Amino acid sequence: MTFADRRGGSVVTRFVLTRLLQSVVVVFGAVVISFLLTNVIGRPADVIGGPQMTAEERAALNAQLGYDKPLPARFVQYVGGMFRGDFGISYRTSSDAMGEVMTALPNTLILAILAIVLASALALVLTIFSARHRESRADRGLRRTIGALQGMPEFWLGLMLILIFSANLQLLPSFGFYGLSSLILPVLTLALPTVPTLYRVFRGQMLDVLGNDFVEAMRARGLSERLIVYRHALRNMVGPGVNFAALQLGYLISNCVIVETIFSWPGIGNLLISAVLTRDFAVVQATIIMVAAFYVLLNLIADIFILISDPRVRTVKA
Amino acid sequence: MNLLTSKASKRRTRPGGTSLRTGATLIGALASGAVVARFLPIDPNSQELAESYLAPFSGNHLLGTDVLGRDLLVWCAYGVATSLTVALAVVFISALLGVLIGAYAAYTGGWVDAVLMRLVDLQLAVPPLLIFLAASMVIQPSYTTMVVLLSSVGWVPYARLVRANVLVDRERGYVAAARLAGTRRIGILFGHLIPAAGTPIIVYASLHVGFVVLSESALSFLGLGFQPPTASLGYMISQGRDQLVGAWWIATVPGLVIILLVVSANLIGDGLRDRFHLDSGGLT
Repeated sequence: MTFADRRGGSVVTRFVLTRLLQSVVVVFGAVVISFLLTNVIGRPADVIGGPQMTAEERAALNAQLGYDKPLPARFVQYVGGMFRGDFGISYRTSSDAMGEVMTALPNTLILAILAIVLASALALVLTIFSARHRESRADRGLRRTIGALQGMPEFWLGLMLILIFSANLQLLPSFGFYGLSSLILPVLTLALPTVPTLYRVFRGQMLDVLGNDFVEAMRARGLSERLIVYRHALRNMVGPGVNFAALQLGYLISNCVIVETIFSWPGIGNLLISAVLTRDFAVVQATIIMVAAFYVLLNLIADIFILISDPRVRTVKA
Repeated sequence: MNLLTSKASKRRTRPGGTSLRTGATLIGALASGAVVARFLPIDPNSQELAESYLAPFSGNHLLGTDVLGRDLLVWCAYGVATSLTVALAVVFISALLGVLIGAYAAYTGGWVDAVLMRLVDLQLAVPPLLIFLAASMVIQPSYTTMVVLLSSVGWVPYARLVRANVLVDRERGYVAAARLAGTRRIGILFGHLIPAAGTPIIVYASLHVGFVVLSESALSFLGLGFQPPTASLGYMISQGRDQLVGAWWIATVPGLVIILLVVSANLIGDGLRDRFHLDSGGLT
């Protein structure tokens, strides 16, 4: 303990360095997976060409896309290209695959970040309600209702929202981008199914904090339950809460695939689906690597945030 | 147990009972509906163009019909069969693989364990949906490929669960006692350590069912999963997507069936968790 205290700074640095190294390993794993999927299981020419392509045409296309070399050579070339920022060429648009992903990424991030903020806010309000009225009939009813929300497929929820708010009430646009009102339905579709997961975790964290001795001491001193929840319990769950929400953001980005398809939103999800349907291998690879890198980065930031927000973690060996 | 406690009141006081019973009843009803549909002389793909676009509760189609005049009730019954078949196969294979890999890794340690943990990290970094999408690009959808695909990422949580449990239990007195009694490694693993991890595995498996149902329907919705003649709930929702304004029920009805399936599987999981959580002291 004293050792860690004296060298607190180096514990943080070492922790960050270890996690950075792990992140690199994980991203490399994503590169391997995307390479294997598109090089060992299927060759683009076979999938793109279909049965009507002749053997010569097929061989020519394979050579053009660089698939005529042996597997290890291709892998070295693939990884080497990445270090130079070359993630292959989209055969549909003949443009840089990673460039296409980077153009679409901000649109996805807008959706995902707004959705995680909305979902966290909703989950927090419900958590505070549950904590103030724990084990009451309302609390149990809330948990039941939340459970039903968890079984709702995003794509179905999206269609239902379109049906209600666009088709019937004609309040909101159902696809494309026409200003802020176009954001409402996609963000809701992403956020609502995330609320149950966040609520469950937040509620658990809150009840953990409320079960502590220091909370009992506050009650003994006559502090109101309201003050304990808002002033003390909330502050104690900010670190783990933000950490968990950041991890959920990673999953939200993958859920964007479905939501963007429904709302014709020009993000990486839509790009990925059209790339998958047209067998545009380079774009699919670039998207997977990008999402994995983003997720790993989020993870890292979330862990560092915990380190900053909670001094107790710093004294424990990482 | 108190002799005076009647059987009925005993059942009512057990934790998680209500969730368990509700979940089991719902999923039982859905499954038996699916089985009954199989044995009746009806085909989900049969089209009656004269009877297309029928709203629910009109004519002799209880849940209505779609663009091609396919009966939604029949389609949903077959869709439930598809979903549950895939879910049960995936859960079984994933659990089997995950338990074996997790127990082996934890018990032997060393590089096997290190490789497993990196695989777990990797699976956390690349969301399953992306792997399914990329794989569906090069694989023809069928029952087999769908089960292989979903199991290929499904085993990881089981492996983590078992690994964590084995690592803790390995240090317990009863394992040391078994070792001293001359039980071989494999005997300790299968006779003691794996059964001890049984409860969390069963609880996770019931929650996993819901996840598989959602994944399968999402892939089918995107056009990368089951296509006719195989009836899938996700496919029917994608058909209803273009008819939202004129025929809301085509997308709505199969979605409600998916929610029923997932919620009842989750209820069983929650019920099991509540029950075992409180009883675990007596079980281990």
